[in-house]
Amino acid sequence: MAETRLTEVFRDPSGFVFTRDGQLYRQVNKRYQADYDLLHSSGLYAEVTERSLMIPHTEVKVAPADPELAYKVLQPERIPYISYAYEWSFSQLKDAALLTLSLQKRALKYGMWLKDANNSNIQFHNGRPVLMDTLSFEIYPEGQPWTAYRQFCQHFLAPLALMAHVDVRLNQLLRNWLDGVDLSLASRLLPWHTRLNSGLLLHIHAHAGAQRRYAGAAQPQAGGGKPGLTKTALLGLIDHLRSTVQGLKWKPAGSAWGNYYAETNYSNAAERHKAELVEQYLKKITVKTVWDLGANNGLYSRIASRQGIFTVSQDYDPAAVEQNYLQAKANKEQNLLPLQIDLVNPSPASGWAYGERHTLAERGTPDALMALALVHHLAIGNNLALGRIAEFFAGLAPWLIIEFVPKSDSQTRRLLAARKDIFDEYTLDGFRHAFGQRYHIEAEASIAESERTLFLLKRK
Amino acid sequence: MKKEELSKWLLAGVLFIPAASDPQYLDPGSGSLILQLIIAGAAAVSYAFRHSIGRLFKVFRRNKDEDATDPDNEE
Repeated sequence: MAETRLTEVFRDPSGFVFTRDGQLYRQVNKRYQADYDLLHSSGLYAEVTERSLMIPHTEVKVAPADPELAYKVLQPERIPYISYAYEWSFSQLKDAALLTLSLQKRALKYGMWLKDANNSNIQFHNGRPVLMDTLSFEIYPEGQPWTAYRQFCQHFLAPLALMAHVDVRLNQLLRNWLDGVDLSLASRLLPWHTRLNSGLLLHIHAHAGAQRRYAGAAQPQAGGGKPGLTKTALLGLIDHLRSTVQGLKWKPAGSAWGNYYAETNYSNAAERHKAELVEQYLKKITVKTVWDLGANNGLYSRIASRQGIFTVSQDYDPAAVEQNYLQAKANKEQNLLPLQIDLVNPSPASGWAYGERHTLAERGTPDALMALALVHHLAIGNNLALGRIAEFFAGLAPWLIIEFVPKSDSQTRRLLAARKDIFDEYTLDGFRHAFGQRYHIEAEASIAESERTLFLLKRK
Repeated sequence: MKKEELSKWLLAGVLFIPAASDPQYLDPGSGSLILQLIIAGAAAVSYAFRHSIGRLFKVFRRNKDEDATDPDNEE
């Protein structure tokens, strides 16, 4: 019986997640019993799951992983692919922040609240953010200030403010600091004019100052006096956080990639033919999951997702991922997950014992990869040997739909414009030879009105 | 009032906070708790105002500038 305890949520003594024989379970510990019972009896669970704001679960009769502590074992609905905040675009992080505040406000109506506000508690499922951690709700201790206020500001507000007011790439700070961006750092990095915004003034700048000022102060002890923060004041705080988050905006601009499809060298006929070939290849192979690498704004990812294939649409460019997400959100697309991934420096395993965040492949690999108009960026733009690229791709998925872009193509010529051409192996024959070491060629076709070739490859 | 005195009063206020049902596993940070107490009055007034007077204008506002995909607007 293969059993693994997952460590993403190991800090919360209320329970933990474990896998057994490929199934995912959540053990609820006895110390969380009263909270768990209220979550269900109050109607909060029904409300947040019916509105798809939280992942639903079923109580199951399987042996707990730690019987001495156990109250119940739950089987949550499985999320097809786990992603992290540093892989989200601006609007994805913003929507995750708004969901967290919405859940906090709804919980208060039922006598509960969120005891934590960690961005890793939120996942994208069926095209929208959802709370993944059932154990985040606890009985509301009337009068107590929100214990997760600092965490919310570090995990959501500070990175969003930095992305909106300094540089959208600062979401990558979350890759290094899993517990969010320290508020003193955020306060130092934000431009002075953000102090004129009442939300940022209070929740970032003054908050950082208060932390500095009371850093050595004794931790508050429980007592039985008058309420410290009334429920109305708490709701006011949540409303203020919400309007602050709502006020943060970022529009993709100035990206070399944001308008790629408008600037591409494709004719309409070439684009249509390429799309037809991708569709044909996908129909030829029966797959459930696809990763579209270098997906830009997801134009070709949608050929897969429209066929009911769950598609992770990855690109390194924040503007492209933002456009992709906004389109998916507007069209309520359920099978598409846009993520910001830099393929030449992909998300690493990190956190305690490398177990709190996982690599791309550790979170699950797809049935097929799509690498369209990508190989020249890897081989020429990043000096990666074709054999290395083939080896990496073959390690991820049994099927590969890949486009070869020759040196004569204007997009490749642009990459070579300011440098010496040292890429002797980068030819169609060189490509066939390098990828032939790892794959069988199942199909191959020239894309009309272009010099490009589209391959369907099957791993040996 | 001197800064030291103010912080003493504020900390005293924090000490009257009722107990949570389970000891917190998250360190809320003293500064974060104190800041909430400082802004509590304004937050309460703002909330009461928005949800009494503001409710009158809700119908007009929703159609104009609220984000339809904000989960709070799906009630």
